[in-house]
Amino acid sequence: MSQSIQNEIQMKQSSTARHIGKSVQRVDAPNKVTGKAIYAMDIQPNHLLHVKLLTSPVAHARLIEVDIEKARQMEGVEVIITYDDVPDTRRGQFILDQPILASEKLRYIGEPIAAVAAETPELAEEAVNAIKIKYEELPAIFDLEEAFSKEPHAIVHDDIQSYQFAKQGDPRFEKRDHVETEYENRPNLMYSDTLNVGDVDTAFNKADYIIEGRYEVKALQHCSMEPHVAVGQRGPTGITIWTSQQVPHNIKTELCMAYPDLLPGELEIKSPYVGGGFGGKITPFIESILVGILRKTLRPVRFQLTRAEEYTVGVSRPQVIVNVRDGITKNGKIIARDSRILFNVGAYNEQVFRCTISGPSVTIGSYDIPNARYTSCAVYTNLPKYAAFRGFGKPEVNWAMERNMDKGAKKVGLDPVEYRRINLLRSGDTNAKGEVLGNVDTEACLIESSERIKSIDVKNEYPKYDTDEWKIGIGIAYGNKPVSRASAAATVKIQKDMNVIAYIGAPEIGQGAETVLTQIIAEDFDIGLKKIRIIAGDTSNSPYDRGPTGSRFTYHTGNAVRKAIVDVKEKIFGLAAGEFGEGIEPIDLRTSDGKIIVKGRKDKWIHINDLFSTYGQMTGVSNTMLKEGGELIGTATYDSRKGGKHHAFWTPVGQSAIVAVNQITGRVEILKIVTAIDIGCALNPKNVEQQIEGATGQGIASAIYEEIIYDKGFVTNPNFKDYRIPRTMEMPYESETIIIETKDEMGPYGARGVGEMGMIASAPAIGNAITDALSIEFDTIPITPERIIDALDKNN
Amino acid sequence: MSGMKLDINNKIYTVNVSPYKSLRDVLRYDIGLTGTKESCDSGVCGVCTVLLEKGAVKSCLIPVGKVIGEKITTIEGLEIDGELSKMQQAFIDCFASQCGYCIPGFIMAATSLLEENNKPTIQEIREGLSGNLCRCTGYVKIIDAVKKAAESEI
Repeated sequence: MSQSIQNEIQMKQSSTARHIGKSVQRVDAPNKVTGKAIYAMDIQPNHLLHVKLLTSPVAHARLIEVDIEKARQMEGVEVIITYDDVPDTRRGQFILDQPILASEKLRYIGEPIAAVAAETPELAEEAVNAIKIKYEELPAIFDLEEAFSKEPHAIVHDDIQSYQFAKQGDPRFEKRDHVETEYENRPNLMYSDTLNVGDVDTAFNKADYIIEGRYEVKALQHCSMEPHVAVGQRGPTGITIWTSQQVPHNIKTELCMAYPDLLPGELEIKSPYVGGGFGGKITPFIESILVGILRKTLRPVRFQLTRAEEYTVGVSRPQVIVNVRDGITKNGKIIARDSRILFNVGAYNEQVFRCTISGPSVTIGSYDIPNARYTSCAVYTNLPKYAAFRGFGKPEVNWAMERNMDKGAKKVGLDPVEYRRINLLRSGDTNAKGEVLGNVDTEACLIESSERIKSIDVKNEYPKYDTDEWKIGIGIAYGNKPVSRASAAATVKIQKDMNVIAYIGAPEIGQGAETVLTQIIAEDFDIGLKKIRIIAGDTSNSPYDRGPTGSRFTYHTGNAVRKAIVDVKEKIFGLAAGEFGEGIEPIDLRTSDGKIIVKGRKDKWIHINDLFSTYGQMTGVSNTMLKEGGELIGTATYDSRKGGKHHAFWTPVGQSAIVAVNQITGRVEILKIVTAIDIGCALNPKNVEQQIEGATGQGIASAIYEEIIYDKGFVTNPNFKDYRIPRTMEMPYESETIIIETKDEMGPYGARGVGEMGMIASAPAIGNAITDALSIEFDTIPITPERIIDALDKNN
Repeated sequence: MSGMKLDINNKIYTVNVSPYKSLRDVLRYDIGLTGTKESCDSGVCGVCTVLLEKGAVKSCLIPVGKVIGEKITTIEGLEIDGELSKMQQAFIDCFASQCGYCIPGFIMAATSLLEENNKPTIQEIREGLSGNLCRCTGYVKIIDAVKKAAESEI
């Protein structure tokens, strides 16, 4: 890469920018407000078959027989597949534990046993009802702590020792158990990760106080408004699947592992606009079944989960139990922290492995704690499967950390903000993992959010709540969220009149990906926004991208696009220098609105079209073919795994809330919530606000509203009537975002990721506010009216 | 039932389906107007909201046989001669859409809300939209958009 062009790109400041840092209209918005936006749900080839599943009615059993003979004869039935019709493989990330369809064992209520494809969903359902199964029930285990014990009354995977591992290229990921002594020999332990820095036990002995607690986060559902849906079709070269998925490239990789004879060239995955993901659309649990059906019919097939199946066949956010001990001095310095974290995997591992390794980072990432230990465990139960949910375990673990922080502040008599401030990790500090915190203003996030909340004159602003019935409380919380290292690639192609197409592996899932990339491309070429088209989420057209997960998209794919632009500019300037002659070198050139201009000489330029061929083109200048043959294509990969850092970057966030709690009904109203975030550079400030307001909303949902209720492994509220997603009246209109911009050293224009950040500290801010209002400690979320009334009753 | 005539966005469509089939499924799968979405299947989430003369309804709960002869407006019918409705424009201007899957339903419900009350307060907007669910936005900018549409002159 030409150093001078690279420097030119890095030096450009957003203050002088034409598009960066401006709240330009979202490029997807016109399609989305007119009904023109196409989602996987809207794809409907002719002569579609519809899929329905036979799922396990029991939580744990030995499967003896699946009899499909009667169903096979029924009207409209095209294909029925069972375990016998698909490869004898196991799928999963890290550990390969999950068959495509249940084989010898059933491990949760909802586990797919057989799939029917028929002329209509109704006929498919009738055939499903005609399939007969025989099974022998086994004892099942649901309680997370009991499942974790050394002698649980049931073992979910009794043959786990024979399971293979997905190759991760890291020795840590090639065995399950990394913790000696007390954590050994736990039959339901899927994975454990640990850290032990300093001398934790000695530090606890030296501490003036030990603050400890057991904190619990109940399971919740992603509830993407577009359910999981995939439509597949066989063509001359293989299978095409349109699916509502966040990471199409990984879906393809996993499917090719599950079907070893399926060549990569025979499968393409397309994710058009995705109707919400939030971590629930990362693994191919419906696509792996769809491929099995597509291999038995020439007709196109549609497989959509019902809303109820989203809670059972689909994945949810795990239940998490955290035990934490903080050893602190009289003047409020934390000298030791010990955390034990249990993640409920459910019956098979979809994404909880990743939560288990990344969730604990918030135990050591926010504050300067010299002696720190954690053990993070993923534990199988006979419950439906769990997965990542906006934050990969970190919001769940941070609930415990930030509740315990408030208890510590109370013990030493410090204001909760001051207690956090004196322990805060700042730019340049090294955390317990030995990682140096980059260029961020952590203190501004903590202080600015709490000062904004404290500036509110609650009595005058919210007079309605100035009664005996309501109690007002204020809570603050803080979090520093790391973003894992990953790679992303991009390809850009220049066409006539400086029209640019960018091919991106990650789909637009609502986060504003297309808009931010459009701004970056327009800025770097100095052209108008309308010149740019993004082709996203298609494995055949686009290079690899780890996808919009874990707040990594803008940083990684943004950088990949910038590198691809440098690559194509080298080609443009090389060709243009030849056109100019007169000793003008590529280094002397710049682009602006389709012109290639000699720097410092506005009058000396050629047009980009001067590089394209007219020879033999009856239709004028070629759209893409160059005079000398070939096309103007730039491609590049950005890989943050190089450079020895544990994480690509950390984004700090402070959140504060004012709540009113009704002592008669137990109802909580959030009057105002304020988020202060150091985003590095807000490429599109309104887009940043969108992400913060949305994630904060989901944090609120997790804090006081949503919980999946199980009865012996059976989900009792798998619908929007009984599982209450907060509505307009239940969400605060007053959700403010304070944007702080301390430029990241490596991010595009200094930007860091934002997607998950509103979820990191919102639940503990609310929990701390409710505790402040009632002077009762709440350690389990959601803090529902029932839990509040129970606590008030106990307190009296 | 053969030859059912439906008046959708001022065009007449003839469909041959059971009168008990939901209006939503007829719109999406028999006529191909996929801007009306499906999500909860039980009239709770509002992504399938369309307008009848009496106001906004959830089309997943309406048997198509019930709306023969009624004027039906879907999200595709709000844009007239390339001109967006003021509600659609306000949703763009206020950054109200993220994944966008719930947005057609919200725009239909909000359009109906303003027909009944053209100068709603924030509180009235919140109450008026409580039949629609969004998982991305936290609703803040959706409420801003409805407020802006109510204040705009067009």
